[in-house]
Amino acid sequence: MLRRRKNLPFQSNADGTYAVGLDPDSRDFLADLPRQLVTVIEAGDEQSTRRLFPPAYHRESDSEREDEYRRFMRQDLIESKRASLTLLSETAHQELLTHEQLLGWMGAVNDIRLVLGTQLDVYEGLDPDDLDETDPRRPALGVYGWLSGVLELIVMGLAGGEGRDLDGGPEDYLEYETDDDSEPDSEPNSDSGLTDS
Amino acid sequence: MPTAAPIETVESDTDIVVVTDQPWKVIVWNDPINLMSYVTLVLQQLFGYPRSKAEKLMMDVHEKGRAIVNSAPREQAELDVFRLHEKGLWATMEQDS
Repeated sequence: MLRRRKNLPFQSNADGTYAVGLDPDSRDFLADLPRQLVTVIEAGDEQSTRRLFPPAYHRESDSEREDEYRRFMRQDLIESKRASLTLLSETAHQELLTHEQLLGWMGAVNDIRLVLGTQLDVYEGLDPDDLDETDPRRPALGVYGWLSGVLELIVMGLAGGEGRDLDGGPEDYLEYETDDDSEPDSEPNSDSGLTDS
Repeated sequence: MPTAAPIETVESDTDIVVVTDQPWKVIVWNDPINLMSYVTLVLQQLFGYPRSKAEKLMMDVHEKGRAIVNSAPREQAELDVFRLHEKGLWATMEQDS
């Protein structure tokens, strides 16, 4: 999984860039996921994307302002997210990322998690291992967990290694893939579980 | 009393829009998807908070269900909310009435 076993997969260099230590299969998977999310967004699936576009004004008495916020800001928000997703696709195979590019990766990976987690109805304390072997959510939850690990490592890289302590080292965050070579990316176009229905 | 007070010439039946200058509260809500480390980093980056303050706000979100991460005039608060939405945090805003 990790090319640089002793370093974080997102390691800052002296010149401000970040070295990316991910294997080719992981990169293929990260390059392909954004396309799937863009499909979901373009399908206008409000239910799946409700965590991407929450209301700004939550009080009933501010409903007119909320309408205005949606009217003027929703498209900007979509474009902002689309830009990050496109960036992730286009730079997924780069060895070096700028700070801005890694921030884009962070936002895109989290947006994918938000939609996947919404579709899977993720709750705090959910452990995929507790689910029945035949539970249809297991493969997608595996992808979700893997993306959570990637995001945690990106955050650690950006925070200069002052992320929260890890049990057993950062490799464990990506253990899903190392422990099970059938998912998530044995095929570059494997289905993440993101659905556009 | 000021001697020249134009406001006093306003007819009592004029529609006066009461513009309160109460700041708007920018609120981040707990959700089961966003990682604690991620929320902390976003609060540091967007508001320039030191790590300790961002961590305390994140823990408030996690344990109390919500935290006020900034107070500002409406336009600024709305921009804050937008930037939080860009990062995928569940943010809203409200004003004390």
